[in-house]
Amino acid sequence: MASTFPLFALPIKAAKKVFEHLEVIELIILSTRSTRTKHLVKSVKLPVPRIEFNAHLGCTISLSPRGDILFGLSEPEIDSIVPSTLRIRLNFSDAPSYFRKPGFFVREWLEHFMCIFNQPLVDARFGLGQYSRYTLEEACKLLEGLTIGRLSMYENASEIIRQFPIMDTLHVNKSDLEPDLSEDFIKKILLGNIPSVELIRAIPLDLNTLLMMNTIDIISHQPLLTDKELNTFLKLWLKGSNPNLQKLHLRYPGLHHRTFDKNVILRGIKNKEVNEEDFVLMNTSPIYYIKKRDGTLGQVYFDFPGFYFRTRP
Amino acid sequence: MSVENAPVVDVDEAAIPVEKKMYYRFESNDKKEFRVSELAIQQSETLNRLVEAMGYTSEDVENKPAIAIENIDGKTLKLVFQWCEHHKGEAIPVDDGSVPKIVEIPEFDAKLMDIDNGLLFKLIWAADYLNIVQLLNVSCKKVANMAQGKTPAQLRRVYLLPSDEEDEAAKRAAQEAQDPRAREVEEEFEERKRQGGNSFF
Repeated sequence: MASTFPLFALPIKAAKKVFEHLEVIELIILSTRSTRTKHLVKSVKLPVPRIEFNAHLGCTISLSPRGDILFGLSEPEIDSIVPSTLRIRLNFSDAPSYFRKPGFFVREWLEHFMCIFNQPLVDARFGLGQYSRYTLEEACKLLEGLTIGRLSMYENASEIIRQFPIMDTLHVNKSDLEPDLSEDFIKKILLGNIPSVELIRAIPLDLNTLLMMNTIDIISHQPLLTDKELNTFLKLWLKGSNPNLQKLHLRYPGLHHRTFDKNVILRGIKNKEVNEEDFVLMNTSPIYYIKKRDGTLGQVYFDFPGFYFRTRP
Repeated sequence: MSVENAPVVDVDEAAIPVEKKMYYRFESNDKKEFRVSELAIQQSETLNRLVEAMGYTSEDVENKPAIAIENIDGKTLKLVFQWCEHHKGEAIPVDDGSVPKIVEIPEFDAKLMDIDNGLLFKLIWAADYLNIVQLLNVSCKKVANMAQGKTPAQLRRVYLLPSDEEDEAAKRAAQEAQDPRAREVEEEFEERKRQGGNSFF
């Protein structure tokens, strides 16, 4: 029996069908063989994974359900003349496979995977600088021109945001020793059109800032809003403020005594109280539905120590 | 009345009206003829549409010439129709879009496809041409299995993958074969570009 098979002599639909039956690891190998194989792998439309650059670890791609791809792990790969080693595991219990491709360094692999997985965004995560494999300068060089999905940081936020001012999701934290971010700086950022913002400890969130944000999904772990201000926020939302907001989660983790007075929060607002089974199980308050004139529903509920607001068209 | 005491009745099978099975006749490009049941034909979207459009009766099948399948040879068509007969009546799978596909090759199919790669190539080509979804699935799965445990270099050899340079050369050759003048124009254009001309025309 012949040991070769002329794959590309098949009609394109049949060749693509063969690719659809290959394992991810084989598809990745094939994608590096030529431009044609790369485009064919791209056309197979593999599940789109998150692609993350982590300043501590290198680059990781989570494969569904239990595998991953890692590269750029050993330092100093950024300026290395040796091609970056790819480590692929399809199952966490299996031994990983390793391979290299001449001319493929960390940046080349990043672009390659963004292409074949049809993932236009790369997430960037910065931890505590002293443990980082990559300096901020190296990270900027590596990610230059790529579109950032989730940008998360645990210190030095202002410098990192200056370098990466456009992102899909912003997750800002800081170390205990760092001062809060400059209010003017972070407000400028928050007033941009970032779809999703998670403010952990970088800056307190006040009512005025919240009302000016054009964000779809907001999480704050350091909100300053009182019950009365929450009431003002809801009344203004009913009048058209924060039109794009879909989810607001205010957590008050440091305030163990924080309770919510629904009579203050919902004062003067027509609402309907509903005890939904799922929410009873989650040990939250009932849901209070409020309604805008255009029919958009708002759900308000509380659980210690959080205030939740969600909208439904 | 108990089952044991029930009277035994001989059944005259000839007296039971049996729906007459419809068969179609097909001819390969090397003039080999095949009779294939109507139910088996349903596995092929292409042939199913063809016979529907032709509107053949049983008499037509016998009296008219066999339906010619011009681009498939007898050896391949025999495998295709064996597969269709074995799987007749089975539901045609619908693609759920998931990748990689999870497909088990049944024992019958594995035996049927225990053939050299040249014939396997023709079988896939025929399954694609005749639009036989599940035959295409299992045959492509067999080809995909050839990649298991292979290194990048081995994969290139197994699937005869051309490099970018080879693809480019093949493309150029195809263009030249199609229209030699087009190639000359392209070269002239490239030359002018190198000389810094703004416009070809």
